[in-house]
Amino acid sequence: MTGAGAAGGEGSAGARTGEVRSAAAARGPLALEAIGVGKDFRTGPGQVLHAVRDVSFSLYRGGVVALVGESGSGKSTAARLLAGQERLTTGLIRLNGEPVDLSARRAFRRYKSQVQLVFQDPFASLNPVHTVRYHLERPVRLQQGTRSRQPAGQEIVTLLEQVRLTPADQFIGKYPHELSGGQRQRVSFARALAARPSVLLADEPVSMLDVSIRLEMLSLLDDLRRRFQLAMLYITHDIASARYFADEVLVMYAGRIVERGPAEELTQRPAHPYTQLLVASAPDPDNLGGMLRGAGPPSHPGAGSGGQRLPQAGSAASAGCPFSPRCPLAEDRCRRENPAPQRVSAARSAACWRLDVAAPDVLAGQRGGEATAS
Amino acid sequence: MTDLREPASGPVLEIRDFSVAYRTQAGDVRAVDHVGIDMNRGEVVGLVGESGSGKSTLAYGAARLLRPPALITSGAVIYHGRRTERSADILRLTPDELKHLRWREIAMVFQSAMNALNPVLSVRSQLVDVIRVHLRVSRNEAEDRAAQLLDLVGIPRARLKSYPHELSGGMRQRVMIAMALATGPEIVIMDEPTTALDVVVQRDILAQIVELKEDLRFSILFITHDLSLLLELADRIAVMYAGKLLEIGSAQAIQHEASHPYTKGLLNSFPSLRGQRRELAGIPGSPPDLRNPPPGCPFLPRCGYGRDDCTRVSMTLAPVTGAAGLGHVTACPFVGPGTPAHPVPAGTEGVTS
Amino acid sequence: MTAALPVTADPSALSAPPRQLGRWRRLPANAKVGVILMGLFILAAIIGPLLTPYDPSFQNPLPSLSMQAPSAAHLLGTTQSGQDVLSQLLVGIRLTLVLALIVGVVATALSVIVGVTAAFLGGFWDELLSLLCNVFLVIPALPLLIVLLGYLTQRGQTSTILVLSLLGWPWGARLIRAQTMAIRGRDFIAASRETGEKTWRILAFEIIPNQTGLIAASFVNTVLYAIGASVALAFIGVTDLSSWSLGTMLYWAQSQQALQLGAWWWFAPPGLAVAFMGTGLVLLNTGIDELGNPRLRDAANASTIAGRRVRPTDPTPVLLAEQPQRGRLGAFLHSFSRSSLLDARRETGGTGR
Repeated sequence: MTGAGAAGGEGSAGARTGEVRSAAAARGPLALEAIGVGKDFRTGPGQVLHAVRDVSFSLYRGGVVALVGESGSGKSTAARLLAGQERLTTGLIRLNGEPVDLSARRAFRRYKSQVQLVFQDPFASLNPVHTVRYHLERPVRLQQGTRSRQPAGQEIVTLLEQVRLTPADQFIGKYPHELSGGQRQRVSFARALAARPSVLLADEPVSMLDVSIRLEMLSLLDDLRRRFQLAMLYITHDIASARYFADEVLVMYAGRIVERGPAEELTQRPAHPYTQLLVASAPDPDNLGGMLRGAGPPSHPGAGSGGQRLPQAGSAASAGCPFSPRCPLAEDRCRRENPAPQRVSAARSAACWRLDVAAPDVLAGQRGGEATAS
Repeated sequence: MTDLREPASGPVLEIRDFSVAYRTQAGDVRAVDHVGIDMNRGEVVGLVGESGSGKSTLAYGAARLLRPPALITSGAVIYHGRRTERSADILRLTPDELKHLRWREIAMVFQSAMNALNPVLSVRSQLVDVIRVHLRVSRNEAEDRAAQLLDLVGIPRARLKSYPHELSGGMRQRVMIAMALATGPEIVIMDEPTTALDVVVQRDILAQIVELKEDLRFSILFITHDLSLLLELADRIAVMYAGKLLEIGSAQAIQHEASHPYTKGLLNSFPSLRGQRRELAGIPGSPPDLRNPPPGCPFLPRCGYGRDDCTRVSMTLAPVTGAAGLGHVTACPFVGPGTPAHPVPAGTEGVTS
Repeated sequence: MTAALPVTADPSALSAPPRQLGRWRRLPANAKVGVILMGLFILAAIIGPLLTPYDPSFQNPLPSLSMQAPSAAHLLGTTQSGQDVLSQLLVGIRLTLVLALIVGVVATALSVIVGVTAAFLGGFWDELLSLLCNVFLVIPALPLLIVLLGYLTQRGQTSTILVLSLLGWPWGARLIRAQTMAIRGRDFIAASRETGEKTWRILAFEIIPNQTGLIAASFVNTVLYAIGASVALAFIGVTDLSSWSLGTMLYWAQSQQALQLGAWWWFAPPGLAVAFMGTGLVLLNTGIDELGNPRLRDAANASTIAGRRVRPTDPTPVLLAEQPQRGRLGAFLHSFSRSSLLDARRETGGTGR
């Protein structure tokens, strides 16, 4: 792996020491790679927002990688970069081993027949003036070059059945406003599938839906993944759903990936202080009346205290670790230098100077096997 | 902070046989259908339901805040305030009396603070306005109180000069809470106050709300679609579906002895971070059209326990048989806490990976 | 103003939905008037010239037929040179309307093209087109029209149409640009890029169909402007005076002192025709507004449904269930009784206006 275009030495150093084997790799062949991907937005004269910085990961056919972070962490921008909706500032995307260049219209279309993005808000992602049929007919015609009308109709019915909108003829003529949120999101899925993609990027596909139907939608996505051997990127702010749905979890903070590892392992034994905070903050149904007792969850010293912390989301380049202002373990070094991802086991890495304090047990498991310079 | 005396026993708000309909060209939508629930002093009552279940309509309707096509078609909402001499039926108050009751006695925290705050006024002037309108104090006193309120919700006083767009989402929500608490209300209705926020900020704010509630002794009606949040936050939980209440019980009872099939389904819908991985099921299907509600139990089409009698169920809340706690009531006469958890309806499978 | 609305209607009548009303019945009353007015004018424009009793330009040499008041032979009287006013009016309506509609189509097309292009391309093109737009907006239209038409050698209708279209587009273009900017950022545009749509297709099939309301309103406004401007230009005599339009009728009436001679039948019909056309178009525009906003419609509809007017800021109206239940006839008869008066007084708490 090369640190192509990564700003500064830290990126390539990170790629060297933090390189881990993805937990999704066992699922199938490599499909899409993001290598040192970054995106800057100009927010004013002389002001640049580094929305995404030096992000590298790989998606494998049949595997799910979850990108977890709070709003403004850059996770949606990362999805749009991979989808080709935004231009890369730095880095490289490879599809099936081939570098991707999307500047030409034909190349973009070819890429779109492989990589599809599903949007978060089902109320905004369907055009209110078009029927379900129109929404599905266009991608079918564009991607498969279907000439006559009949095959397209057949294809649309198949698509609707695949996303379990049955009976299909009941939905085909409806307008988005006649559908519920879950049904709209199914249409979005069907639209993405119409291109017969190998990679599906799902940007918070269930966060706008009711809790009672979220699970059904995730199980549908899971079903589609299995059936079409989709390589899936699942973007979410809900780390609990990532535990159940994903093979590998990447935790993003202020535009960087701060921790990555197998889903179950990472959520049960988080190493990075930010991941620990995320896990501790998730609602805990077993902790009945936990908030009534006035105590935060016991697992982390920073979880329940003071309310004045400003999220440092996507903040401009600063020398130190972006999480250091909120981190209970921060010391001088954290404020001076940004830590590079550090490999903590065969499939896990975390970018933190103080892993020995933050996650001694995670480190201990790895000490026996290999030696690391610390 | 407030002139409230020690809490008296008994409910602070009684909602009885309450119904709200939305009048549309295509007919009346019975958004809330003969619903009754009490709120006790200092209690956090959680109202959970999916979108369109009528949970917000119930809360806003009880405060008479709904706009026209909405129409209250039956019921009574009795408010027993400590500062008011006698109990009052909110449905029979004049607009002037209502104006006094809202904010002063019953305050609201809305989901979108960005929409609820005035974008062209500073935090200070919005707080001062609320205080002066409702408490009739001098400008200086109001300014002092505004500063105190910000202390209370954990925002630095320097932020008084800020405008809403200069604040983060969490801070805006805190300002909303400060405004709601400005007049020392007895009841605060919170409509998904943290749904738009990140989990970390959400937890901070909820912990703060609970702390404030302990100090200031108000009651909270907390509306959300996230049952996992309520289990941690609420004393009592009311489960709403298709305009009807299906189950009311303490958080403990709902967690361990959930009786209604819908509640059971909800409990099996959210993935948990802690403990063993559970088999999750979700609830297939979608809620009924409230313009033509089906007879009997509205949950029947999605219910795994359905039987013929379900179309004749009266949907009145009756005590759960064999329930440990008092006040645990359910609308389902057939299924109890002991009924096996999953006769999984056809067509769904759990998420596995 | 009452807090509780005593309504004696049978509550079961609530569930009887007025099924599927036609679009026409859903239109607000003022829009209906607008549609009828414009319909009449368009009808007159189509079949009017076939019905003209006389050639509008035919000058009857009989002195007795000069400036004749309305009579059976000449329903709207005659001009000084003995021409039939009704014939002139019917022909004039057609020309004025056709001219205004052509200007409307051309100018609206221009504003859609410019507005959408500017918003979608952004950057330099947006700057350039916006600048052009602003330049045209600040030009004083009428003086420029007079100067332009004065210079143009050929004073036919074509030149009027061209000049009016050229000056009529910027206002609509600005509106459409603003709305396109808002739509451009929506997810469904990004989604159609995901499916690989070409830019022109996104513009034509995704963005523009979402603006039909605005485009229709802009078209109606432009037609209104074109009628006003063309009549004004004809009235001051800078257009082709050899053909009959409402403007040229007014020009001849003015230049031959119809007003001073008291020949009201000469100037009133064209004047009223212009006024009614304008009124019709304005009413049509409000109708377009309300059609595009069903929320507005429902709210307006509900505000009188409980028998009394409810403003959007009023507390949620209450339909009292404990009112004695009467049928329609019973309620009507009861409303005359003494007890209904007492009821009303009790409900208002004596504060009713």
